Amino acid sequence: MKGKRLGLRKYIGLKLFESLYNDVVERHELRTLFWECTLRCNLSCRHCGSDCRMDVGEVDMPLEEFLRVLDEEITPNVDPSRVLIIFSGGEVLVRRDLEEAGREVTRRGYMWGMVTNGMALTEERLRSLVDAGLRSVSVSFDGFEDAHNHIRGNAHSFERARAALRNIRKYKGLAYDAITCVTPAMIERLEEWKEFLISEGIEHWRIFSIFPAGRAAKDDTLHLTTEQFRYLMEFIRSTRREGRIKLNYACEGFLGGYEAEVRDHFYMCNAGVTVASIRVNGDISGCTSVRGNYAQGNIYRDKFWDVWQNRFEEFRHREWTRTGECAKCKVWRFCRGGGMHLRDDNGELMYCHYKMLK
Amino acid sequence: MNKRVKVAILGLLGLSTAACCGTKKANKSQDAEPQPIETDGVDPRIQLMYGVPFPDGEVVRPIEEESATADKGGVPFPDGAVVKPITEEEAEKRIEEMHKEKEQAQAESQE
Repeated sequence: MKGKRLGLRKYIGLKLFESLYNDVVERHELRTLFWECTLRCNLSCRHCGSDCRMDVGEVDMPLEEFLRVLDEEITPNVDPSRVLIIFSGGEVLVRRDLEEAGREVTRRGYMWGMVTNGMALTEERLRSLVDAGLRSVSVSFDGFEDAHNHIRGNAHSFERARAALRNIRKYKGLAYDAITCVTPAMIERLEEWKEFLISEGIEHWRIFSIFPAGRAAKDDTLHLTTEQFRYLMEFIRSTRREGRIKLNYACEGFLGGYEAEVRDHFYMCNAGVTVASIRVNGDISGCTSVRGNYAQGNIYRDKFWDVWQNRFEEFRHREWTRTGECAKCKVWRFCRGGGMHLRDDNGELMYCHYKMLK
Repeated sequence: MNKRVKVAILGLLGLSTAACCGTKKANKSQDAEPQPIETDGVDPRIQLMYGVPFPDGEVVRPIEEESATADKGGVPFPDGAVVKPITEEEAEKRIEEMHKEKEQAQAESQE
């Protein structure tokens, strides 16, 4: 089935999945914990969703504070081996105590990973992070040198990201992927870019497109048209069928007939359902991409576990999103109002992926 | 309809991977044996927007060290297998086999 329309097979599949997913919501088991350990960054990307800067007002969260929450609130209530901790930023590698943080969470039985722009991921740094228990890493790699450097605002960023990915591939057992933010400038060159990634030996690739948050909201040149978005979906589907590189579209929104064909899984937003984050200012939220005013508590005021168990209502039960264009939408039951990160400060939907598939 | 039936129907529809996936538990330490795959049914580890791929449970180590032979002063890279003591009988048998291999190699080189 092509495009927006759901075929019968997929409709039945989604109906079954809907009820299974309800169980996941009811269990709300913590499986992924983001620690936004810094908002400092060594780049100033045009599409940054965090709107982070080289010099930020917000200081890094001390490692001791994060470990205190982990020891007092989380570890007693979870099986650490089932929880993945993701260090996120900003750019995490600006923190000099990242290895110490990694060692500490590994010692407690957690797996950990990080997202990086690769600028500071030298061979030596990677080795010390692996020694500290690093298990998974994602590197932003947005396109050929001109496109990547333009979007990242740095003449060396492409070479550094490429070198970082080459270093990562020297490790067996280290999960990784290259993440490409597809902009109109790259859409025509996706085939060429795919061949380049394959020639670099990269096996895991993730694509996302811009959503209007942070700095990206102000730059129209970064947003795909409906035709471009539709082309992107076709490209991902055909690449997956080809099987030469493992490609996934990020968990951005419901995709109608493309469901289960451009991602390994049906669409779902697990923010606040199985995913929590501790923001740099101590706020407790779902994913770090969700806007600040959806914070459910703060580690300096509240008990994390109490917040996780008893709040997050708007993340787990999303009937409140059934307003505006979602009110009469026929696929709301499968989409549940899209990703939480696509909701603005007033709860209105900023971007509908399903609508883009017209 | 219970969970297993739903998962089975999804499988019949060719959508099982979209609805469920295997996840792996972390090793408690780097020395531990990899844990078996734990199938969670419908709690897939989805690729989060700002997330990372879910680790596959393997111990991370450099490929070059894994395949490299020992240098002069070093030792070979361990293969991750659990080291167990062997009996005296087994030890003698292995030594005998080594001698035989050595003799055979010498004989072949003389030919």
